[in-house]
Amino acid sequence: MKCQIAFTNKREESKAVEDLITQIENFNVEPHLVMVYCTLKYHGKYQKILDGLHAHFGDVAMIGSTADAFVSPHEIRSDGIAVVVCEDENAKIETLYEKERTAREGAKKLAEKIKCENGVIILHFPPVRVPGKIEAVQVILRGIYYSLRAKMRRERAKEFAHLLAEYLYDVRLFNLPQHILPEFAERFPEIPVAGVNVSHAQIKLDSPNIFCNWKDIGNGISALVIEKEGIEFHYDDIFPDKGNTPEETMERLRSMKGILKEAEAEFVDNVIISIDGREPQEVIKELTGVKKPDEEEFLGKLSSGKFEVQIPYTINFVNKKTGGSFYTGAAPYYPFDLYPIIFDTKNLDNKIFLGYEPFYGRITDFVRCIESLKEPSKFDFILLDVSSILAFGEYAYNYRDFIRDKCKDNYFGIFTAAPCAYLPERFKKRKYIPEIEKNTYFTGGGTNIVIEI
Amino acid sequence: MERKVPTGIYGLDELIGGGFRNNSVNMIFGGTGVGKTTFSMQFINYGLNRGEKGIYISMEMTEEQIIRESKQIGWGEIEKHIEKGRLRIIHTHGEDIVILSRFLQDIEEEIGEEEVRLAIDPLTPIIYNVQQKRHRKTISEFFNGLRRFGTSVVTLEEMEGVEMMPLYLADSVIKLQSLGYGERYDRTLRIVKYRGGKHGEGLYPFSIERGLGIVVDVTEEQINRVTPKMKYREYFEDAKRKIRQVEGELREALLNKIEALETSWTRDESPERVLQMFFRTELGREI
Amino acid sequence: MRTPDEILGELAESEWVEAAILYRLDGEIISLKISREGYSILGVLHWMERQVKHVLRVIEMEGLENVIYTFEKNKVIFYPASKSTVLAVITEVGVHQQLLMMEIIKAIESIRSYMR
Repeated sequence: MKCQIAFTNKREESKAVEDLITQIENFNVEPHLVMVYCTLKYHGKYQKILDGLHAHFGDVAMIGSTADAFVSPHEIRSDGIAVVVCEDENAKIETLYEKERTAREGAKKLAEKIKCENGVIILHFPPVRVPGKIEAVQVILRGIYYSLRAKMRRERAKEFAHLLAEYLYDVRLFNLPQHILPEFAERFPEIPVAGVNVSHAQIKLDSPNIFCNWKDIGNGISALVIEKEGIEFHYDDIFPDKGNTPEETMERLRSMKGILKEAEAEFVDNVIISIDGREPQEVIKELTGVKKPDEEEFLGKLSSGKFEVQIPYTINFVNKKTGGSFYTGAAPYYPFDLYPIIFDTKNLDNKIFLGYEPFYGRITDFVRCIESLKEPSKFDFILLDVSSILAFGEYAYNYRDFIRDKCKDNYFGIFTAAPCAYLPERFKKRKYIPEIEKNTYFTGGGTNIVIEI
Repeated sequence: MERKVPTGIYGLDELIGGGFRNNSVNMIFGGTGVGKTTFSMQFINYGLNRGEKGIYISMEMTEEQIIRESKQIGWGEIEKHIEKGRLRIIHTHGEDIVILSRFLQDIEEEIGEEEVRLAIDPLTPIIYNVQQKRHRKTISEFFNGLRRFGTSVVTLEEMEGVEMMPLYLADSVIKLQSLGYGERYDRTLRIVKYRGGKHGEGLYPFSIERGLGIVVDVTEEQINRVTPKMKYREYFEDAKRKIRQVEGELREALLNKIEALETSWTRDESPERVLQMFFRTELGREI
Repeated sequence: MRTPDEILGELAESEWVEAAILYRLDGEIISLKISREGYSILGVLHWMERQVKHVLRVIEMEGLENVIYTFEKNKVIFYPASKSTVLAVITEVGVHQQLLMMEIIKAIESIRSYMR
């Protein structure tokens, strides 16, 4: 696959589109696929941008989303729009999407529509989708209500936590990779699947957004299917291997730098009810020093788009079935006591590990997948964890040179939340620790993927 | 339109509307070794090559030194200009110039009736000799004298204890700087003042190139900022039409104002709002 | 090669940047770009006019990597751009500094290559 990239950071969307098209007109690639990634500054204007580009390209397959940053041969940019125009006569390229009531249903329907015998599936979806203001208020009220009920009727806490989880699935606040990837794994056991977890360092109302076939599908799931011989898929992460048993993994966690404390958690679905018998946010306050926000503060931050979700504190879990371990951020995210997380807790051990700075000293591990590249001449699509920029600041800019050295000139990468993946056996190079389901990998940070096309 | 005297400095004229004003005194000031002498020589040489006459009054370098320096840059024609009597180099010492009016007479004798390009490089020793009490008046009279002769470039050294009064009295002031970091903005030129017109307000890097002399690095965008925008002409024409309906002496005064505004309208936005304000203030109503 | 005006112009298009100013170490402004929405920063610009020479002197003498001043609504990040220049970026308080840093570094690279 051969690609050329146009980039603009013009504030006004019409000027931005004009600038992009001017650049694209000088490209010498035939567009078989167009990828469009925008930073959040174009919030509310995505469709206009897509319309402008659509008018230029016509009905070419198109995929994209909002993103925090991009890496291309010359730069890392964290503000603007990147349009990647891809040409590949030997590939069969298809872009599809679904917007069902729940992530599971959407994933199922989407998987049913796909035909792929040899190649790769790249999904885009927001693991957490912040709704508009009215819906956000409703979510807060439900959260407060179920939290109060759980507090007052301790013996029925699980029931109320379950109701909250159900509600959050229904309003699609959560699109858990654990619910999405297995639908594809089951149908395409020999095809690697990458999940672009579209999420941002600072979240705002009514975001993130997924784009497919020139439409802003908001909270949908999209799939880019590329059927081609010889596609290479390299997943890696910053962590050591998992143990042979859950107990061994726990031992490894204990020996890891940054693990501060062990605790017993009670949870159901994707909601933590208590940690060491106390409300989760109380324990988190002890850990981080930050108390849970009140509703007004919470909504205010969401409205202004300055709600920071990436923090250095973690809650680490161990999966009793896979022996894997993964973490979620430990921060006072919600103005209520029950604590929803980005994992389904079925199969999780009740023993959890509270930690700090899992990234410390691992700057180069965030691009470890690049080390496995086989053919520099192929196009490399790179999915990186934005926490690397947040953790290492300006030093993360060195990724540009590192990647350029390895990938030469034909590549493009995006920074969003850590990507997830389903890996058929032949794509596994080691016993990756964040194994959330069999051969499925996802955690709160530190994963990275490169696909050679 | 006022006649402008091209400076001969590459890139500078575009920033000052075509050159220095005719019959003006233009100060070039800056630290030692920054390019003041090159500026003066370049200014004179540009005119000489176009048949104008020049007087170079040097307070430091002898005629031989000036010829050598000019040749060094690549202006070998200077000897020919001296031979043909187009250029007169006067080497004197500031300490010898006690009475400035007498000095002016001496210059006048050299020049005769014809307008010339004149350079005084540097003015600093003369300033030292001028009595403190009557400082401003003396320099002002001296500059008025220079204006009679033509267009002058006068250099002034920027150093501790040097009187900066001439800067206030000059028609234009250009500051040259050199910092010594070895980067592009080491040598810079700033137009501090330019009477009677718009000028570029930026800090412009320059280099001294063999053959050319001073070359100011000006971008299209910077030039655009000081270029009158002719695309708004119709607004001014419309305003003039309205003013012509005004009775009495005021009409001419208003027309003058609008013409001046039109020739200096460098903003890349319509003058509509300013013109409305103009009519409200001048006539008490919008037209 | 892009000029400082073009480089700062692009930086000022960033949603986080209210103004970008390139100073020479002696306090002279080489280029200044204010984003259209940035009128609230006049107070900060006034402060900079008075203080910038001192700030630049300290940056040069102490070899500082960057200096950040936080005001009620704005933040000013001074970042040495080359041997003789310092880039100052005015942002709103609360913007994501690390992400903004990617844009600043990009601008600084361009400034460095222009200054050479």
